[in-house]
Amino acid sequence: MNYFDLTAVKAAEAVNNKEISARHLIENILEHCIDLNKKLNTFTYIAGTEALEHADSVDQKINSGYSMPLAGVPIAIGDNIAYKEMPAGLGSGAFRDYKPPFSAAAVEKLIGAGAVVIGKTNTGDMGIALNKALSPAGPALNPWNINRISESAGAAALAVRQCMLILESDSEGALRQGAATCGVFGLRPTPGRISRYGLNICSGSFDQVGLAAAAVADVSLAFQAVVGYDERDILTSVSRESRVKSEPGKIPNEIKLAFSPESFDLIDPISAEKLSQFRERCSSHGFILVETPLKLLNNALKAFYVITYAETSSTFARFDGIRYGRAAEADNLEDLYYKTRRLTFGHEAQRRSVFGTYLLSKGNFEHYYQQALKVWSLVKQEFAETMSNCDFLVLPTVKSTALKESEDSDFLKLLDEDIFTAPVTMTGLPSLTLPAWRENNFPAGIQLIGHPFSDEMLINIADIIKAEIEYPVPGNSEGEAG
Amino acid sequence: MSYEVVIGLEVHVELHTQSKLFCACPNRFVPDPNVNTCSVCLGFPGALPRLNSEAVSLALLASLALNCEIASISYFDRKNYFYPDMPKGYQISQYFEPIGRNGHIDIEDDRGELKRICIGRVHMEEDAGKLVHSLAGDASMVDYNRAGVPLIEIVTEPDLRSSGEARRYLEKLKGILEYVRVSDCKMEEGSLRCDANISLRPMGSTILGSKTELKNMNSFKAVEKSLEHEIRRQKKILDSGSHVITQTLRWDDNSQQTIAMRGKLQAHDYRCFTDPELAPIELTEAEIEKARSSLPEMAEARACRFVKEYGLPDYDARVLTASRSMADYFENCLKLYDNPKLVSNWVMGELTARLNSTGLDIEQCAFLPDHLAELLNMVDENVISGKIAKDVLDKSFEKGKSPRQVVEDEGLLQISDQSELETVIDVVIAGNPESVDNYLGGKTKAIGFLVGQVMKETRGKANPQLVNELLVKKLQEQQSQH
Repeated sequence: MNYFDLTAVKAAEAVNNKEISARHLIENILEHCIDLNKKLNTFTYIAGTEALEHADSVDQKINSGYSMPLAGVPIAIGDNIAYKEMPAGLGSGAFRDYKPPFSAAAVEKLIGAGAVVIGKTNTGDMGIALNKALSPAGPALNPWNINRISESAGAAALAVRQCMLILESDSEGALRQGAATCGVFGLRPTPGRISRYGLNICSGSFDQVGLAAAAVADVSLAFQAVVGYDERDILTSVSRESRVKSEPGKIPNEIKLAFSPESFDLIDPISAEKLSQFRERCSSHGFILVETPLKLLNNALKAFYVITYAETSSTFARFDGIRYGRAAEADNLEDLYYKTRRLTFGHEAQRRSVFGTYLLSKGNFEHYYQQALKVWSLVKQEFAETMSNCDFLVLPTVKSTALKESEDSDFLKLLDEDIFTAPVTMTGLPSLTLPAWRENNFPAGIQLIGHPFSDEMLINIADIIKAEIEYPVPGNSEGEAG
Repeated sequence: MSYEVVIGLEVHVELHTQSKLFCACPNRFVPDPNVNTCSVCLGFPGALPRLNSEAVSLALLASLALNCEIASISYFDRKNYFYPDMPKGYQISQYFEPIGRNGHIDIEDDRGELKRICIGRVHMEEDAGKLVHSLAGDASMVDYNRAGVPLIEIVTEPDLRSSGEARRYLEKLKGILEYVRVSDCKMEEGSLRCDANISLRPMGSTILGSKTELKNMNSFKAVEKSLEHEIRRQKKILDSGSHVITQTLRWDDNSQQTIAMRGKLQAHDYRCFTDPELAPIELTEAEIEKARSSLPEMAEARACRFVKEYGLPDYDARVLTASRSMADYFENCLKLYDNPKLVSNWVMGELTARLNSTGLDIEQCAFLPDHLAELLNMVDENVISGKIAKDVLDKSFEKGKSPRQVVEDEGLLQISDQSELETVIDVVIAGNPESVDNYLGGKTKAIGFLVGQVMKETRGKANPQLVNELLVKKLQEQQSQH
C-alpha cells in the first residue's frame, strides 16, 4: 500500500479495519517527513519514539474492539499551538526548549479521535505568518515552487504528504493563503466553533485555530472532531446555541454564488483571467451567479492591521522572561525588559510591539485605533449585505501565485497580499480555501465564504464544486518536491 | 488666606469570591508564594481568561448598595504597563464602561449635618501580584497568589471637604460593603485600600487647585492623619506664594509624614483598549432587579426597625446595626430569648468586651447566639446566678462549649438544695455570733453580711434568694429558742 496516496479518511478506515497498523503508518510517514524536511523546512520539531508509542496505543485500542474516526492519522500542529508532549517554539529563540504546561483543546480532541501528532510545523516570528516574519528556524518553502516561502508550513507539508491533517492559526489569512498556493484545502472556521485554548494569540480579535488537509473529506472529518464548546474558551459558548445552519441545496442550480468585480481588479492579470474562467465554469455547471460590490477591501486591510498591531503590542507585553521563556542577563528591571524582549522577538514582532504601542498612545488612539474600529463595523456591514444576497461569496485567496522569496523585504507590499483574506477575517464569516486552477503549473485556490456558523455547509459545497470542476491533484509528480 | 480643602477618594476593595476573577484559582490568602496560580493568572501563552460570574454578582450588589446606575453592557479593557507583578503586562479593568456609575452615599459633615458624597464610578478589575525584596537587597521576588483576585474600585467625585469627612466616608463605605457581604474590608490586611487626591483652593473659588495623590495609608486613622498633614503642607506652600507640584506621595507611618514617590508611578499613558479576549458583561433589567431585591436591609433602616420593633434606645440600635453580623447575632439570639434590652446589654457589653480583647470578629467567635440565649435562660431559671453567668460566658467563649455544658463540667450549678445550704448556714451562724446578735437585736441589715458569708462559702454558687429565706427562718428559730 502506498501510504502517500492515502487521505486521512482512507487511512483511518484502513487502521480501523486493521489493514494497516497505526505504527506502520506513522513509521513510514515519519521517515518521509524527516526526509522532505531537509528541503522544505516545514517542521521545527519531528516526533520520534513518542509518536510511535502513541501509534501503538491506537493499535491497542483498535485490537480491543474500538473504532476511532481519526485512528492513526498523522497530524501536525503549528508551533504556536500548545501540545504538552512537545516543545512549542512560538517562532522565537527564547522558546526553543519551552514545553507548555497544557495542550490546546483542539489538539486534545484530535488525539481523542485517534490522531497521532507527528510534529510541530514552522511558524514565523512569534507565530506571525511565515512570509512576513522571519523566525530563527528560517522560512518553510512551497513545494511547488521552492523559491517561494509558504505562508503556511503545514499547507506545504500537506502538499507533499508529510502529514495528513494540520492544525494552524489563521489571522490575516496565512493558513488560507498557504492552502491556496500549495493546492490543499484550508478552513478558517466561524469564531467560536473551534476552541482557541492553547493557541498563542497575537490579536484576540482575529486569531483563530484553523484546519487544513489535502482532501475536503479530511477537513470535514477533522472539523467534526474538533468543533464544539470548550469551557476554557468563552468564545465557544456560541457553539452551545443551535445556530448551525442546515444543509444547503444539493445541486448547483439551487446555490447562489456571489462574485465581486473588485476582486478582478485587485489580482494580477493572469489570475484575473483564471478567475473569469472559473466563474464561467461555475455558471456552466449551473450555479446561480450574482455580482456584489465590495468597495471597502482596501480600507478594511488598513483597519485590520491597525487593530492587529495594537492588540499584538499589548498581548506581547507578557513576554518579559520572568515566568516562562528565556530571560536575558540584566542589571536592573528596565534592562531585563529591554534585553529579554530583544532576545524573544524577531524583527516583525518588534515592529508590531512598537507600532502597536504607538497606535494606542494618546492622540493616536483616537486618530488610528478608534477610526479602525469604525471601519471594522462598516466592513462587517458591507459583507453582511453581500451575504444577504447569496449562499456563498467567492473571493481570490492571494493576489498572485508568483510571489518570490526575495520580495520579502517590501513590508507594505507583503501586507497588501492579505487584501482578500484579512477583510474576511474581520467579518467573522467562515472561509474555506480550495484548489481552483493552475497558473504556470502552480496551484491556485479560491476562497469560499459562507454565512456565520455555516462551516459544515461550506465544506459540503466545496465537495460539490470539487466534483464539478477540474483542479490539480496536490502533491503529484509535477510538484517540485512531491 | 483661608482655603477650601477638596478631596476625592479611590477605594479598592477585594471581592470575597471563591475563585479569582478570570480563573478557578482559590481567592484566599496563603503564606506560601505562588501556590494559588495557574496558566491563566500567570498569563501563559495560549491560556484564555473567563469571567467569574460570582465576581460580577458581588460587583453588581456593591454598585446597587452604593446607589449606582447599572450599565446594561459593560466591558473589560486592558490597562497596559510593565511591572513584574503584572503577569500579562496589562491589568484587565473596566476603563471605558464601568458596571456602576453616578452613585452616592450620605455621611455627616463636620457640623453633623447630612451630606451626600457622589460616587462617580464603580468598576471591576483584577489585582496584581506582590513584589518581595530580599533582606540583603540583592533580589526581588514575585508572588502571584494575589494576581487576578477580583477587585472593585470605587471612585468619589471631589466632594469631601475635610479629613474627618474622608474618614466618615470610609467608615460608611466599609459598613455598606460589609453589609452586602461583598468584602471583609480589612484595611490592615489589604482587602480595602484607599488612595486620596487632595488639593486646596482659595475659599469661594470654583477652580480646582493642583492636586497630589496620597498612597500607602493602611488604616482609616492613617488616611485622616496623612490628609491633615498634606493639608498643612499644601497650605504652607500656597501661603508662601508657591505652587503645589502635582505628584504622588507616600504616607510614612513611622515619621508621620508624606514622602514623594520615585520612579515607577510617574504619569503613564496606559493605552487602554477593550480586551478582545473577553465578552462584555450584559445584564438584563430582570437580573438587575433581582439583585436589587436581594440587597439586605441596610444599617440605617435596620436601626430604625430595632427602635420601633424592640423598643431599644437609639444608641443601642445604632451600635448593634453598625455591623450586619452583630445585628444578625442580636436578632438570632432574640428568637430564643425574648428580652431585647437584656440581650442588647449582653451583646454590647460582655460579648463585645471579649471580642475586643481577643481581636475576634463576631462571626468567628464560638459563643453563638443560641449560647447567649441559653445563658440568659439559665439565669432566669435560677440555675446560675448573674455573677456566675459572666464566668460561664468566659469559659464558653474560650472553649466553644455550650453554657449548660460549662456549668455542668465546672460544677457551677447554683445550689438550691435546701439541706446543703442549711449545713453551710449553720456553720456561718455559728461562726459569726456578733452579726447574729446584731440581727436579733433588731439590726436587720446585718443579714446582708451573713448572706455574703454564705455566698463566699459556696463560691458564689448558692441561690442568694433561697439563702436569704433560710437564714431568716433559722435566725427566727434561734430567737424563739432564746
